[in-house]
Amino acid sequence: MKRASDFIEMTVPAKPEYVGIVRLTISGIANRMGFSFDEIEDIKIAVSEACTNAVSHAYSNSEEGQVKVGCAMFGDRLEIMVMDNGKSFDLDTITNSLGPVHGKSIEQLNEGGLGLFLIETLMDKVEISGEAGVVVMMTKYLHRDEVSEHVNRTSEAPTQ
Amino acid sequence: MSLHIDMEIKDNVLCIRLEGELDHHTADLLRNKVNETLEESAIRHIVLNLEGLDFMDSSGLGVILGRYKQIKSQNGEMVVCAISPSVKRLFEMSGLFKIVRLEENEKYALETLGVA
Repeated sequence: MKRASDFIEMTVPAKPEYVGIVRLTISGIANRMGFSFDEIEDIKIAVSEACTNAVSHAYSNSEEGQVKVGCAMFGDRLEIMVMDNGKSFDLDTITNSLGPVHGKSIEQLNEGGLGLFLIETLMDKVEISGEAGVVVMMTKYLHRDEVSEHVNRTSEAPTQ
Repeated sequence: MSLHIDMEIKDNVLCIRLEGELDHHTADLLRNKVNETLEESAIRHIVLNLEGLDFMDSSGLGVILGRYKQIKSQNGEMVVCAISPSVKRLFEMSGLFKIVRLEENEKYALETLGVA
């Protein structure tokens, strides 16, 4: 595995109107790395969800916060970190808001309760930690489909 | 990186046409605008035309779901039309397509609601 990489970091005010800027920037980075159109759409949604969470977290603490986004570009993958600098939060509340897989039907979901579920669905690897603010770390592999064919994964790939 | 909202009332149907990006920021604008119109006019159904929508995230799904509940509580129906493959995928992942009717285009969506 190749060692990193180029690293891009940006800091934006924790306001909803800046989420689009982050999304646009990352879609540019992903495009440059050679991700497909669909993969870029996936990344854009995941980034949007993570930044929106960070922004609302900063808001709910009524701090004039900032959201930090880091992008590490590797030969085989893109790692994106989204951090807010909120002081306190309840990780359980956040992880429990993962839906709709956990029994809740879509009609019972709150507006906004889907974000983390989408991130987990759209990205290949997601880690959330909460020591100093919330950090969402998500990874998308380049051309994962091609790779998995060689690895002989037990997916729905047709057997010959 | 913004959302353009075009609304038109045909009989008792509110047609909402969206262009641009529907995220947390623009979702607030859309929610307010639609709620205002629903209060002012006698609306029964909503047709949501997403032909010009380039991007949507869960905030967008949230607004749609919220308006769906609202219109449904008045025995109305919500029809979403001209949906792009990426937005459709979002609908499928969230399960929203199970409760909201999807149609090919606005004209046909309106016809199914009895508007010529």
